Amino acid sequence: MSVNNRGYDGVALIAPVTVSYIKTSDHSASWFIGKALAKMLSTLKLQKSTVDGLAISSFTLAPDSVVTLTEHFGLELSWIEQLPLGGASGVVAMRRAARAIQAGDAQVIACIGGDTAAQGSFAELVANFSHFTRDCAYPYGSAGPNAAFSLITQYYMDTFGATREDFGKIAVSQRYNANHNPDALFYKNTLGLPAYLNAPAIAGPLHLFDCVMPCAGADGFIVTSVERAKALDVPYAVILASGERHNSYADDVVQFRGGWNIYSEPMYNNAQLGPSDMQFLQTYDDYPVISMLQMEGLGFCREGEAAQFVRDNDLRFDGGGLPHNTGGGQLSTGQAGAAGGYLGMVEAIRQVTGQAGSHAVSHANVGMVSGYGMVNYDRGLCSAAAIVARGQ
Amino acid sequence: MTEPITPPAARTALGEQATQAYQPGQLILQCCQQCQCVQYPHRDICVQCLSDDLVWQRQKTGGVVCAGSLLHRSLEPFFQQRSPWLIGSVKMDCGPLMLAHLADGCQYAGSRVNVIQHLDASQQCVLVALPQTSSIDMPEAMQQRLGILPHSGEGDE
Repeated sequence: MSVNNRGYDGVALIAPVTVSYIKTSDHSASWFIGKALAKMLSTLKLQKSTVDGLAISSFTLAPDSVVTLTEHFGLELSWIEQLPLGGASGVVAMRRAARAIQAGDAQVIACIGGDTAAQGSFAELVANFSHFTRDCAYPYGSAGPNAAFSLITQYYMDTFGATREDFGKIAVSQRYNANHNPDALFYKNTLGLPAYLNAPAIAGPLHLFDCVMPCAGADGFIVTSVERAKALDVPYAVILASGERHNSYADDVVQFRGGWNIYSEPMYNNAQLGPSDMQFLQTYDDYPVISMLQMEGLGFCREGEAAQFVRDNDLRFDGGGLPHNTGGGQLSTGQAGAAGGYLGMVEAIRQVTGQAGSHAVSHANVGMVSGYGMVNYDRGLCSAAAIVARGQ
Repeated sequence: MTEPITPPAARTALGEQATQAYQPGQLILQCCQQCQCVQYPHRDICVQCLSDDLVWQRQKTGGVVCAGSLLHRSLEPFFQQRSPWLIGSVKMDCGPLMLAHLADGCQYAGSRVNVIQHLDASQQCVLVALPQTSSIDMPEAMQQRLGILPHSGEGDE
């Protein structure tokens, strides 16, 4: 299977927004998505009618969909997309929207991931996630994603010698970052390694601070042309390269790599950059081990060596090492459903456009954002990544 | 009298077929009649050749544990009452990778096991991995865990 080398010339990413996360909400998913859209437009002082494209990801929007939202929000659009890709949604939405901009199918595309979280709704979502889940995963302990990821984590520890301290370093560094991000659910809660290690056991090697807090919220951004971004006089990001791959390495008995391993090299070649040029890395961190798989797959270290990489590098946004999940990641900001798949994308745009506030990476001009998602049975199926840079 | 707490019973139509095909002490899975590929999870279409000619047939029960995990939290009261609960993934000699309830002592990577089906307390067919050294009969302790045999000394509910 070939990798598309065609670039993203002329495409701009603007208006990164977050609708503040909250543990539970009586509002609908439509409310969170609509609030994100309104926030983008007010940030840009744009009329609603300027928007002609909409990409949506949400686990809790059904029975509504992106097309019913057009009527709900009073939008007439020439391009719509709905991406049920969980943690890969944000990067993939950006990729689809960028091609639509280049092709001229739309001019201003709002990309939004948003979900609500009613009391007890998480169990319902997990039990009926897919056919494979219902028949062949949920009946075995009904622990949701924690079960699959406890097996992936245990296998990774057995195979490569990673320890709980290594996972802890990821979680604790991200908490430090979240303590500098007022949008994070755990903005005011600090976390040290002893507390991480002594947390209650959840599943196998996973303990409390290895797991995300499900919550409600939305994240989004706008994809448009560089020309329009300049006319609007707003800072913008550009896409230097990107890739995606789904259901890779299906014969691996337990997941220890993903699609990144296939397209990261061509991606760096297209960007004419290497891993050491990345000033930050935003990974999809539903569990720390998954961040490690991305560090390896995206070439920051070799396969099986992420634990050593984590030991050797400062992961805090201001630590001078490799700033990782600079806003706190899902482990410390919460997982607002499909918005979790947008978090890294939005954070990356903020970093390269000088909008990251008190968790800004110093002089960040270019960085990597990665997505991962959709455990249908025992592993995540989707992977996507992009190198984004400050627009000149 | 309160309703007994049972494990999750909801299945798709294919999951219901698996329970109908169940035979005690065996492993009955879909097998593609075109390419002989054994399917799991249950499928409508063969994962290898895309044929829909899938027939429930007896399979070899041997496999090796890839990873085991003791679950301390569950979304279901049945498992919450029995916490911690041991599950694992097993690479089967007949091909597929199976998530299964693990008997004690099978949780370590590399353990040889037999995976057989059994009806659980919701009368649904589930996979149970047993040490390969033991007999194919389901150990009493495992039946108690699954809620299909009352705990010894336990009174009526």
